Amino acid sequence: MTMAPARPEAKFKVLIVDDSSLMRRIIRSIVGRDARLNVVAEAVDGVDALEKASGVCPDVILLDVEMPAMDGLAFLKMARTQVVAPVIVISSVVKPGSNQALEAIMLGAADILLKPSGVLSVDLEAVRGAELLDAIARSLGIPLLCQLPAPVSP
Amino acid sequence: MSELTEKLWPAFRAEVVEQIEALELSLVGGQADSIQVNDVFRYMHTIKGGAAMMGFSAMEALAHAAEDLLDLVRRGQHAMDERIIDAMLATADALKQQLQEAERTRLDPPAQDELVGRLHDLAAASAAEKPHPAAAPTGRPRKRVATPATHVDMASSSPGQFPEEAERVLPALARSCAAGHVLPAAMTAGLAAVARQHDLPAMAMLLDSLCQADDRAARLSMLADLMGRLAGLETTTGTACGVEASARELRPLLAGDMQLAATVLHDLVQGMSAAMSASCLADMQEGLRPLLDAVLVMRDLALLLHLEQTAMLMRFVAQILRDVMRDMLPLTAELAELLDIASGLSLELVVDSREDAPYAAMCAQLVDRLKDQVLATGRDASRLARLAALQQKTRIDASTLEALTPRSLELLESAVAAGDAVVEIDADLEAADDAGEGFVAWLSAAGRIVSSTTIFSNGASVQEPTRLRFLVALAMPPEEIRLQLGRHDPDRRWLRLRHCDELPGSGDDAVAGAKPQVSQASGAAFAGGTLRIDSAMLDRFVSRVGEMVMLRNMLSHAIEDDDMTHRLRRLRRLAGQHLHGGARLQDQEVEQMHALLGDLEARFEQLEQADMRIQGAMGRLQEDVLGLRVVPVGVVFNRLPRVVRDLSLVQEKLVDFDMSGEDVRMDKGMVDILLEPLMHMVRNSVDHGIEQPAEREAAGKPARARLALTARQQGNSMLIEISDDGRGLDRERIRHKAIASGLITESEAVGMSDRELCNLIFLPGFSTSEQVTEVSGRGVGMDIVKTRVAQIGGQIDVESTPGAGARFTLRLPLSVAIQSVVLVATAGSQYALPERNVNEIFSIRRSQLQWIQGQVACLLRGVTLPVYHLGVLLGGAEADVAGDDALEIVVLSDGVYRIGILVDRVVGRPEVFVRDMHPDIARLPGIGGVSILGNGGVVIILDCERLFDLAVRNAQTLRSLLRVS
Repeated sequence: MTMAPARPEAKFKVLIVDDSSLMRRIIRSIVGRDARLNVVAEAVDGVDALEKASGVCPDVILLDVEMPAMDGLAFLKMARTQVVAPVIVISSVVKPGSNQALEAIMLGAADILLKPSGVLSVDLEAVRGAELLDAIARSLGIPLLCQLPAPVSP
Repeated sequence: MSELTEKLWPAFRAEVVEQIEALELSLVGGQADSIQVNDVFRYMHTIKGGAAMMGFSAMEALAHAAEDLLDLVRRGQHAMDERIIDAMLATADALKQQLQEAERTRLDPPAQDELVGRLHDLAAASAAEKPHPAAAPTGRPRKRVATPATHVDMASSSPGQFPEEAERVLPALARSCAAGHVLPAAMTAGLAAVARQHDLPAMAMLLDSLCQADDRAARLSMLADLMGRLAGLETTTGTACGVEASARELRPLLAGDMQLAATVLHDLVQGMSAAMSASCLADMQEGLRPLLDAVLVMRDLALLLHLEQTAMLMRFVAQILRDVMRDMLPLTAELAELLDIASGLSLELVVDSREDAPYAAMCAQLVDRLKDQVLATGRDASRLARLAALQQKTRIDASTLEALTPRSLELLESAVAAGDAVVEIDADLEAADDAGEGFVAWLSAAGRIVSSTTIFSNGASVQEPTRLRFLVALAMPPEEIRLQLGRHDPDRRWLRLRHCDELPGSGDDAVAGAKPQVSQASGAAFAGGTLRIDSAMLDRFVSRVGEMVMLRNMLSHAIEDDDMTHRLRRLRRLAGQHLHGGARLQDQEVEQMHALLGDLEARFEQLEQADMRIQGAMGRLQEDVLGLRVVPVGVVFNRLPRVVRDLSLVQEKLVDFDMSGEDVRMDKGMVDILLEPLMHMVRNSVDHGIEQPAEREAAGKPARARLALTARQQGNSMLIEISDDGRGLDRERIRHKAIASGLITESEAVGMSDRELCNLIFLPGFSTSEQVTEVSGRGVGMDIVKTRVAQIGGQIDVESTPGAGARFTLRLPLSVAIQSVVLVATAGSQYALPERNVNEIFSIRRSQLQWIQGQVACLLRGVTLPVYHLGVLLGGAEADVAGDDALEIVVLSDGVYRIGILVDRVVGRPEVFVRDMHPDIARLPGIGGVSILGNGGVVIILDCERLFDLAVRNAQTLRSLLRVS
């Protein structure tokens, strides 16, 4: 699952956790726009994610909620003691103001992004893709792409 | 219940019928050991689900009982033996009965308690008989999934001496951090090692990085993260891990930080409120980023000082701010007010930050109110009104609209106002491979993507791929969009255009209109049946209709031109003046006229071209519509194995039934007519043709008989053969019977060939079976079979070798001309009038007929309608009409002429198969074709155009009627 073309200049390692291969592919393509980021691994559920996280030590984790074996919230619970990286929840079920959102926040999610409102657009110029990148940058404490002086992406 | 039931009924009915057919085929189509139990289970399960949905609890109970039994079989607790197969077939029959009952009443059909009991007994017996102790004593095998048992255990297991060590080390560590000292690695290494030892890698790593951080702020932020995690660990383990101890150390040290953070936060919130009340959106947006930072600082401080409620509140506020910043949430006045309260709370904490427990209730309340506020913003009234307006204008799903962010909502509104086409495009990008990127690139270049949503396949049963749904505004007509989509996905494999906005003539509109029409037409043809349409077929309709729309545009383009009207008028005036000796035409005017004529010529060519292409497109559309009526013959065949099985069981015969050629396609109308004859013939073969096993063995044949049903295409016909290896037709008996029934004379019989003799069985009134059996004794003889086959233009033939079997061959046309007609009776005969020529049917009193301008006529809504007597028109005797009876008048029209035809009565409106006529008959005036009705009677289909001619010639035939009036 490890991404093939490792970019030496990329500093921050990203782990994508989603049971849908389509979703993973879309998120990967969005993350790929920011040259500072590098998707180092993908996991299909919480269990897989814990394993991958301990192996690759990601700098940020992008987490789906609805997954088999171990869902996103269970993963967040585990991550408190197991994973240092900030976790950005990307989900269609965790709506703003919902109890699940509250629980994710309580469990220390770095951010929560809503899926169906179009977070995950394959259209790389779309607003929502940029928002994911902004959320990642913010969780890593690095400047947002738009704040950088020169275009970073090749 | 009724309205919904009515709406769902056709789908429910179709599904149950389909599932039962599949079920029967699975059960009797092959050997018992080859039955796919999982399939059978699924069929029953589907039926159960459907019945439950419709509220038919009796059906549900029956299907449920059967499903339970099948579940036992599926799990290997019971063999799929004859008892089970019988029970399942009985269930299928009962379900069919219940379905019929429900079809009539739309109510829960009567329960089948006896059968349900039988199914339960079988299930209970299987449990008693076959305990299968080794396999799965409790039923479902409990296989433990290799899940994160270790991790889960770890979270709740005791973290060993870590809490103790943390209690000891952490306060000093916290003190150093707050004081801004660089932490020596040795200070954290011990605790980190213990953390690693007890599977707390996150704690270990945070401790490590604390020493590597360069400044106080970074260290404090990491420490806050660590403290937050430790607080969580304390909650799960119930053991203190130094959080409160550290907080005690930190309180005096961080008082200044607290003061500063709270003030900054408060000021920012005030600034935002001011910007809001001044409606200065830019300032507001500008203020959000520092506000979020301030909230996060406050969150960290709350974590460090072990103010759990405040930390929670700040986390929540931070999330709200992030959502507002990315436009997921609008920033309302109420939300701003709540933020203000939250910042006020943090100021109070500065005064006394020992603990926030006194504020716990307030914080919880605040979180609740914020939550409600956030939830409410999705439902605020003005937004709802805007959504409703958009839905009216665009026909986009409400759910899609509701998910729009404020920004995309505005984008959509402006696009709609600008007159852009707003469409939803579903893309299965996983299937698109490389083409997907090209499509997305085009989409972003050509239009504005309002939103993109992931559509998940619904449920495991539906194998629909996960797709992306783009809501896009494109400044181009829908047909152009469709064209572009076709360019990216020529096979229509992964791209799908959903509803289109309501542009005139938009393709999807036309399809939406066309769909019910299609089902209506077929509904008329196939009593009570629904027709399932291949989605690819529907797609083709969409493209066909798109083609038509384009052609229509081409037409409009050719004729629409305001300037043209103006020029024509001016030049006609000039020409008039010239003709009437006024002014002579100037050269310039002649030039204009010349140009205009050239223009007209070009337009006329365009019109001609459009006309030609419309004809082509119409033809293709018609072909497609007719194609809807074509189904595989297997639809009929699949119902026959059950017939063979049941009958051979009753008669204790052994029959292997083979079918082939189920894929040959034929008209759906023919399929419906074919079922009965085929069932009859198959029954006949088993009943009369195939012998008892003992008799077969005595004749030197295998005990198991073979019955084969094949279909194949031969040129323009379809051949269906039913052959068996039974005893064959008994010529002597046929001869006797035929002579005894007076069908042939003895002398005729002498000269008959074997084959001629065999074919006598198709004559009406012929039945050789000496004992009326349960099956064949239904009064349906082979003559009915022959009539049915003849009705759809087919022929039937039989060959037989005594002792070796018989072979029946049906030769059927692959396609038949089907016509809707109005069947009328006049002067003792029935005639069919093509429905397309029938405008309306009404009845009047004879006294209302008038003599107008040498013609019998009546007034129909104030317009004179010439009236003719059909019998007289066709050259029959003048009708004898007495008294003031009500008369039936059928109004015929060919679009130019309109006449009324007086008939005795209107019989019906069937669909008939038009048959070729003998050339001599075809020459007779007014006759367009001939057809055989369901009752075997022949009916003439009249040619309305010829009728109009006849009408002119017979203008005065109804004088007799007038003399009376």
